[in-house]
Amino acid sequence: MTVILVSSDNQDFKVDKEVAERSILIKNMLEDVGESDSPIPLPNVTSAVLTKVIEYCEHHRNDPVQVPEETDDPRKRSNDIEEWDMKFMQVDQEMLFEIILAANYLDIKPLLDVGCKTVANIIKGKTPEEIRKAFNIVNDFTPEEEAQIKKENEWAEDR
Amino acid sequence: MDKPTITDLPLEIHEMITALLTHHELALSTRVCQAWHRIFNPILWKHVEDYSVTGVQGTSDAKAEKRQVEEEQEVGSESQTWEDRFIGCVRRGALKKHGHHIQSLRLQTDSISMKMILENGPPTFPQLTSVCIDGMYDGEVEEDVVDFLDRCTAGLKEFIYSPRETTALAGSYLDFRDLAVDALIRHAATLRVFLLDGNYACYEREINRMLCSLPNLRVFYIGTNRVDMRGGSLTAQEIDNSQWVCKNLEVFGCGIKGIPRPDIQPANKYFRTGTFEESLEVHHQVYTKLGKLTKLRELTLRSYVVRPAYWGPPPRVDIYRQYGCLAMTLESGLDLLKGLKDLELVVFYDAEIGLHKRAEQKWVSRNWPKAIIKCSQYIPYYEDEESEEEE
Repeated sequence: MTVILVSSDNQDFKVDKEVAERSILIKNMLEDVGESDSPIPLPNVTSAVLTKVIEYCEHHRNDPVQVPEETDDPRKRSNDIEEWDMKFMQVDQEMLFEIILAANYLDIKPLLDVGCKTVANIIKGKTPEEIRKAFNIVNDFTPEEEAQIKKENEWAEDR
Repeated sequence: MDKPTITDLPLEIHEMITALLTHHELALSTRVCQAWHRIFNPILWKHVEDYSVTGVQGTSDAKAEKRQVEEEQEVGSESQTWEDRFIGCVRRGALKKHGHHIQSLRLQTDSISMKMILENGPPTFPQLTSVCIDGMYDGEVEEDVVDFLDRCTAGLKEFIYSPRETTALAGSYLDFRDLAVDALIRHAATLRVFLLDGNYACYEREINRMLCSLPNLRVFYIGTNRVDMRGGSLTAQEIDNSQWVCKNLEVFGCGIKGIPRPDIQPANKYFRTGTFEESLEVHHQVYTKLGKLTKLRELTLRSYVVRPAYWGPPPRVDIYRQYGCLAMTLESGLDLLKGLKDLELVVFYDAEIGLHKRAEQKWVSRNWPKAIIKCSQYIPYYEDEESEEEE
């Protein structure tokens, strides 16, 4: 069985129901409307992003339902992204954030996790200046302001 | 939306990302630009904790490595401790400015007192629900504790407090009496964990009031008062006469005193002797009350020990025998505690334990299948008796 997803720019995507149901939002919608051929509009997702999201869901179509790992310290799990996901996430940052927003909207928890881990890994181990470079951010602090923040938050920094 | 950036993500995603960063990485992120500061600074200040104690910062390997390096270094301005840095930030006004973001405050240090937090903190902590201050006691008084509790306007879920003395204030203590208890009871709707330890003064009436006024407690633990060993105990007689409302206690720790023990000699003026029947009756009253706390996982009981202050020389055995302590024996009513099936840990400090006797051991393995029993000390009173029994 297939369903038709419609992106914000009015492109139709025909996908297996099983794949589409990786999105809890779509799964719930399908359950609510029951058997129906009517296309599902996704006004928050562009076709470029939806293509990527469907690629992810296709690859992970047979994954077991994710069990939350509450016991593990989340701060130690940042780096463990599986190889395929890592390659999948090698996109420009604009697309990275689009995927995260789409995963959030469509409620695809594993994709959202991978997206967040990817962002966290870009931040990890960098100085503020290196972070600015990595995200193409202009420093809009005066040197005094930046020094002040450093002073206020010094307690949280390693020495 | 065109060209989203990290700042366009919703708060819950910012929190997911920052949960993957260390405090250090998060602190550096607040310095990137103004937009990042607006997003990440409140998240950074949510959890203020001395991670050199809590071990959250970095991996354990990295920490061990860092410690080793620190140990090898000469103590100088470069090797500031966490406390030094935190105190520096507090004194520069950072707590006053950002304290309203704090949700959990965990300080286990030698140089941070509640007084310092009050003097340098914001007028209220509107988000704060979890507090652990295991720290120096710096001359603050009961009114300061009240002030602090009243500043936590969101309603505390957890209050762990252990004032510790400094050399300058040796032998002094902090009152945690009616005023502080009143302030604590104002958190009754939310308070689930209460732990008091260290150099405090809190007596049977106050303890009983808390147990009668805090219905949501899961953890109630009054540690040994380090000043005179006397505080922090309930009177056995009072237990029977009161209406405890905390039916869902999972952890209970407290002292129990005022047990008549005519069977333990020699008696002295500090504890009641009474008759043997009276002694059994009081035991039964205490165990009946405790036996209703059927959700208990941990039970800690201490006795009122008559001995010199804790820093004195070890007491002689004959003085040691002068207890008004609970007897944990079948005869004294152990069976009244058989409803506590979930007990995982039972700790007796300075109590007289019958649990090393065979009948009691059998009882324990049958009724408390999961429990580990720990006794810090017991009177070597029954040992002779037991060996006689066995012969």
